[in-house]
Amino acid sequence: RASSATAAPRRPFGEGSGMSLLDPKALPEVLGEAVSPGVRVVTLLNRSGLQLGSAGNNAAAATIAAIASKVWQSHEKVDDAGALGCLLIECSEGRLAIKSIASFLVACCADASVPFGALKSKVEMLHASLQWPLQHIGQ
Amino acid sequence: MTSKTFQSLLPRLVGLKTLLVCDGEGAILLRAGDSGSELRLQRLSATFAQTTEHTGKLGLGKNRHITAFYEDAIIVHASCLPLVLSLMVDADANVGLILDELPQLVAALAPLQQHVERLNTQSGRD
Repeated sequence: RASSATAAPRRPFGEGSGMSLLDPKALPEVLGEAVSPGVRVVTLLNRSGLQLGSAGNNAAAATIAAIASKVWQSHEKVDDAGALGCLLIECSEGRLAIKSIASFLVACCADASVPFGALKSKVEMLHASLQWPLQHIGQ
Repeated sequence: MTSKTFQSLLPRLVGLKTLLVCDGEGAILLRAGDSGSELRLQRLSATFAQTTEHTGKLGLGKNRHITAFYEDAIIVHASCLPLVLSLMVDADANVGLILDELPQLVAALAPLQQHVERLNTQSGRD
């Protein structure tokens, strides 16, 4: 399912370019694998905070994507901090996990009933599933 | 100003490298552990103070804490407005235990928190 997130080029830029494109129909299915009781929305976004796809409560996904990007970039760019692997955010009415996948970010938002360990595992699972296809986007 | 309760909680933070309590502008009010990592943690604490307002717009209520998993350390920031409690622990530390102790740590900072709030209120009047 993860490999189907990138399709064979249907409209390549020039003949024989072999550029990989993202299959927009497959992405919500892959992200939906992380949706379980208590998980509100899972969204894949670029570093500018724009969504590529989501699963779950799509109405909230755009706002979560924009803020997740902002928070990630603020914590990522600090000197001498080493590579940032994952962010877990606890709020009074819910939780958010953010992880980078290639040049993108995945954010998983849940209510407080979802343990942090489970939330972290979900974004790591998505990282494992999507790392290879997302690395080849546009190549 | 630091309560004995707060000091007594520190030995329970297994894997702790550095602990800082800073105000909203990054000025250090309390410190414990390795001073070599203080500058890095202080910068990250100021970052948290700036981003916690954005996090509050997620529609998930107020931001309580953020845990950042870096390559060589785990950093936990907790909101104790107007203060920020920041902890740097080993990358392989049991972060669950650290998060479990956070409510007690935040509660133990209440005297300092209230003192800083009073000072901020007074300086706002002057």
